[in-house]
Amino acid sequence: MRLPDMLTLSLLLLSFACGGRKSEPVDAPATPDGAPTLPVEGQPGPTINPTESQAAVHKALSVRDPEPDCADVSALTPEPVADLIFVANHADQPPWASTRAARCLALGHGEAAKAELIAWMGDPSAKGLALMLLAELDQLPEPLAMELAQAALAGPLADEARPRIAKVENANVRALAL
Amino acid sequence: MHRALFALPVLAALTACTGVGDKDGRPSKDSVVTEGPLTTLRGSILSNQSGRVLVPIELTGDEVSFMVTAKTDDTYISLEAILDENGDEVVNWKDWLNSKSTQSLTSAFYIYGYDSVVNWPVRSEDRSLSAGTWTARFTTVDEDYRYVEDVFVDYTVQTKTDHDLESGVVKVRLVWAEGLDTRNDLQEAVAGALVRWSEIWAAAGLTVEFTEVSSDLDPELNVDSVAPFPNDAVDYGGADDDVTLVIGETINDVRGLYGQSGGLPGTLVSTANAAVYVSWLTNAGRDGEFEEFEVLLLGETMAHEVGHYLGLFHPVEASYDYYDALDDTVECTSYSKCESQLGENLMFPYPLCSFTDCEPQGNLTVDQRAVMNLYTGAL
Repeated sequence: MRLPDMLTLSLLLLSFACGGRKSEPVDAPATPDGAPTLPVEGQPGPTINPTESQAAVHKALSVRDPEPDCADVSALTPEPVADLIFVANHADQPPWASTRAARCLALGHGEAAKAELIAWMGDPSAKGLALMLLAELDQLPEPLAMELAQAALAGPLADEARPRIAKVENANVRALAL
Repeated sequence: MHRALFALPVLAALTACTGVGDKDGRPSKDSVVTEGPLTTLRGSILSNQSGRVLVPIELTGDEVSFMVTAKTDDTYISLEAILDENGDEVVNWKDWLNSKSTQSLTSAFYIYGYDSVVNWPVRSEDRSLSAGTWTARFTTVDEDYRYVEDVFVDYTVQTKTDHDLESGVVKVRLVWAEGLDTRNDLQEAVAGALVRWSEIWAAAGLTVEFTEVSSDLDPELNVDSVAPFPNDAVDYGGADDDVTLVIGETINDVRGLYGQSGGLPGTLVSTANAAVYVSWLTNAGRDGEFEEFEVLLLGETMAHEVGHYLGLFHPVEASYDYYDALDDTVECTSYSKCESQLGENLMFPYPLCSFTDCEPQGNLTVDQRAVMNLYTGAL
């Protein structure tokens, strides 16, 4: 069955066939290295200048399939926490690089990255990362899972977070959504 | 394309499997249905004393390809060999899964689930079909790879007589996990992605015909190669000539996975692995919203994953030392050479991206197009 609106969408997509950039400003860099420059009106969008290790992490996380192992990714850099945070915050493409970076942070470096993880739970511009972390709550230590769930329920993503938290297996975490 | 629940493809109802092969390993044929160029035969058989299952494939000489799907209730099964009408082997797993092999031909040789699927020929250079009774020889094994006898095996043999290998139609049934079919943002993103997918596959002469199905599947998709296929009981109107693509929020246990193909190739009939799964969340990036470039990449993701389902391997794996079995995808040995020579190919293992841009990735070689058109579900 052909879709009725294919032609319209095709024309629309042809207009940006070479991809594009997100228009929102990029957050301040986590480290001085690789700092993005903020966009200036009328000028091209932000330029991201990752360090060598950040680029290596980004490349590893870009693989389509199979999914890269988080431990292998972390082993690519002497600063896995900082570099994974950088990729999660600044990699627009491919889209799974940022969500995978967030997942690797939570699963492998949860305590060290806790402040960043909690910040994402209350940041609408990081909703994709937040939803990914909510899907991992059962894989995290309970104290961290509780803090992330509480942060999500206290912020602007509460409506989307609540039904997801209500489905986790950990009863204590699940109770937060009830 | 928006939230409509489209009419489902209609095929003749198939007779339920009622017979069982006998103890000598002779098959029982239960039903045969012909719809246009596709014929679907169902039967059952018991594995013999050496754990072998010999599935007969009766050919008139008019067929251009066949697909055999064999499945058990709780025993691993994999393809060992295909034999032609004279009993000569045309392919054997030992030629492809050995310490010297650096190429992949079909996942039918792999032991990973309670079903195994082979499509033949895989490539245009493979032995073409001729009249007579061919045989697909499977083995049933336990967790320790020991042969198991007396295993009940359901099999389906599908043949196609469509001789046009330059063009065809692939029917794709899009199954939305619960609640996702009411989200306009996802509907629009997927509609745009389908345009990109169709554009890429058009270069192979393939038209993708989509139908949509709502479901009560948990958006946290549970993909388990040895579990009953989630759709097995209800099947959501699936037919024996379509490919199922399930869209969920995440894929259980591998949430960083953006998509997964149920086989290389995947089957047209219902098994535990009879679907391609796509996670919308992983494809939507940091903000969880689909930007225009993410829609394009989602389309390439779908085209890539279902490309696997039609039998395409990565031309080179990300380790740069393992390859598909096609002659016109170069065997490069470093990331710089591989990215330079194959980076624009749809089946390259990763898109070439900076932090802000990806290169379009939709090329297909002549040999890749041939694999896709030889897929029995490309009609």
